[in-house]
Amino acid sequence: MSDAEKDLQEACRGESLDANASLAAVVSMFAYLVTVLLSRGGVLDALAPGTALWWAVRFMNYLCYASVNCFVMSVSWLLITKGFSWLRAADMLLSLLLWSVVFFAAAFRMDPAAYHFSPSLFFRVFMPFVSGSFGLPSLLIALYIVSPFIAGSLSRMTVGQHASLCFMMVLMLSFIPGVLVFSDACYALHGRSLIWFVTLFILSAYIRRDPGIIKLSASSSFCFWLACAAVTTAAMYVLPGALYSVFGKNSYASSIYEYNSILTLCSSFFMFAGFMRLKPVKWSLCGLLPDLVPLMLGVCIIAACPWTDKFIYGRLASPRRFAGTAAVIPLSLMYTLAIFAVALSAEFIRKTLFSMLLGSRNEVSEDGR
Amino acid sequence: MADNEEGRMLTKSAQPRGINVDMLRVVCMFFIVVLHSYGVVGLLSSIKPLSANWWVCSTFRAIASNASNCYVLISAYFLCMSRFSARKVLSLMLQVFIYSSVLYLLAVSTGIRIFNTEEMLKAFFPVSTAYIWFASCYAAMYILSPFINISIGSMSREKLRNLIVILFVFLSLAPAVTLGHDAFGVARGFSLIWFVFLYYTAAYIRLYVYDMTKESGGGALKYLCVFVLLILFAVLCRGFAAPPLYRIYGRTPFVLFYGRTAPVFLFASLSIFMFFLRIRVTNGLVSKVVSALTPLVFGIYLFHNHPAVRGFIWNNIFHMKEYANAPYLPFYILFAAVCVYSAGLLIDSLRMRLQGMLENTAVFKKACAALSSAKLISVMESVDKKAAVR
Repeated sequence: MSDAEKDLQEACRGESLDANASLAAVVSMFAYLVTVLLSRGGVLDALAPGTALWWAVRFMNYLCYASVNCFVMSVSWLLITKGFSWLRAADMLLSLLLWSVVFFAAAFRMDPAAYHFSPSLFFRVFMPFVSGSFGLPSLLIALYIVSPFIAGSLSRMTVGQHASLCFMMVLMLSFIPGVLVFSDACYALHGRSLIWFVTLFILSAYIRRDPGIIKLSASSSFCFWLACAAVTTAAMYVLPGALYSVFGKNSYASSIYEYNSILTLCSSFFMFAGFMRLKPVKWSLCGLLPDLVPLMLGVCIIAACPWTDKFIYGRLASPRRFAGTAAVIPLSLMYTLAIFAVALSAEFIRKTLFSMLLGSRNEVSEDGR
Repeated sequence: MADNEEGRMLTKSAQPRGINVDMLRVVCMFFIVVLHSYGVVGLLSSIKPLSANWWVCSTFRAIASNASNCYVLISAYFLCMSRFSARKVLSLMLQVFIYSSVLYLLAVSTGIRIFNTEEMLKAFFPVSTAYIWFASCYAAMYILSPFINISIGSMSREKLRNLIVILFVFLSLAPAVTLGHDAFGVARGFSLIWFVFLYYTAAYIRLYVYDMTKESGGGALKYLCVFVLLILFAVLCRGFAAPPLYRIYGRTPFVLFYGRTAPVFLFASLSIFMFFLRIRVTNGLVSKVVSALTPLVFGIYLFHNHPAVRGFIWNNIFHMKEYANAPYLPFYILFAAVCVYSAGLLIDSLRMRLQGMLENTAVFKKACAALSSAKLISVMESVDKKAAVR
């Protein structure tokens, strides 16, 4: 078989898994919203450590914690071949700006006393992308903007060089800060940085290049994902005390479950691998997935908006009220589902309106760069 | 530090290539020492604002804020046309380890520092724990250099320029415009991503703007003028714009005035870098002195900025704070910096001998061979030194 035929076969194999990546992206976003609800809704802090409910809720939290990395890997998988368009980038930036301003106006109207004008507030509301007030969406948009450069660079590397790059990035940005808990030598900033998202892009591109490296079946991958979450939960019960006794600081324990910690990365990898080994092409919902993925950024912006989180998670859908009962888990999932659905609908309406106004469907163009 | 063996060959103008940028290295290190002489003890906040001492110290600080950027630019300028070597990584790590561990043990045994488990671990793993932050980021950048070179080679001039502009907006302009909000994790320039950005910029300069190994020089003065103007602008802003900003904002945004990622300092670093790239050093004595000092200057950094001893040097030996409002403070700062610089040179010449012996041992050679034979590393070493050329 010639090299060109091999490349073609490889590309086809990658494309056939696009539906899996789309499914992984949608589920990851839902799981991310679960973590947002549990933390901003105050459930995690309301439970007494060591109780059965504490174990169950923490386990659910760490299970879902893998979702951010998994989401980035899934969208990276799709971005590698989808190309780049400034129109799409502008749409993302406008979406972020619009929701920031709209939700701030709503929050200000509800409780004007909570906000005092300052330059910092101005930047956070009106320049949400560069001020990073929303966190994850800024990094996702930045990754989208730099993705054609990374994809082009990776295409010039051999598989061996690509593997070596993955190894070095994971070693420097995940393994070392995860093992030497007081170290963040390269400033991965707990995974809340562009360089970490670029690392995930590189990993995803490697898997796309050779999907055969996922040797596990879907069920085995999901089992390992569960196991990673269980180990993280146990570690978070045991290690804070142990680390405190050695170093006299509590803060180091959090390095175990940051986005860039090796345990979270493994968990994310297994979550992603599980979805990539599924056979969603047989599912009837599969046709909807490519249309849902572009809405996920908007869902993330709306559901994790810093201006309205107190209202949404404190009053509207407050799981804290049920923190002492077993109902907290199903209720948290139900609330998340409701928030997800509302955010999805709002973003869909926004996107449709923008498309009508711009007279285009903002489709991604291959030559838009 | 940087791999500039290639740059040491002789050109038609009889200047050993690289002497001009080596000179920048030597000067940068001096200003780093000057910066630390009052930065470590918080001297600037003790000086009466807008006094003569304040202006001089602010100017020193503004000049010194470019030093680490220049170091990275120099290294990247050569690395983008070099082959990766695992031996060099080990050699750098050994150098950092010698300083970090020996000085820590000395500091603890003499009572300068109280023993602490965390700091001991950091001192024995200085690169992995960012105990010496510059060494950590530099090592990481060096490790990534073969991949960055491939990346550069995959881009056209226009595409590389676009990437640099985008990264400039994300990492330099955005934090400055938003008065310090760090959305993308640049961490005021203490981060790998900032070093990678500088790498791309230096490579762009070498590939498309000015390759000193091929071109004859000249036109340096305009870059010096730009540098002087930018430093003046930064110092004047610090003096006159910072107080009103403080009143509005509640704090002086560091990133705007002295952060190494601030656009004004990025451009100043690039200007002074271009200036030194374009000058020609024809004086034999200067060339000899610079050649002798260059291998030792990184040692000066490792010695005088060691977390366990730096406070002792500036507080207990030079008592910097006591001279905060003395009329001769600038001269005292220069005197202290010359002393520390000289001591660093002496210490590093000893370190070089020790390291030379260690690198000749069978253990070190075996470690290098083992690393080079590892598949993941050999792949990096095999990347062509012209990979960055499209």
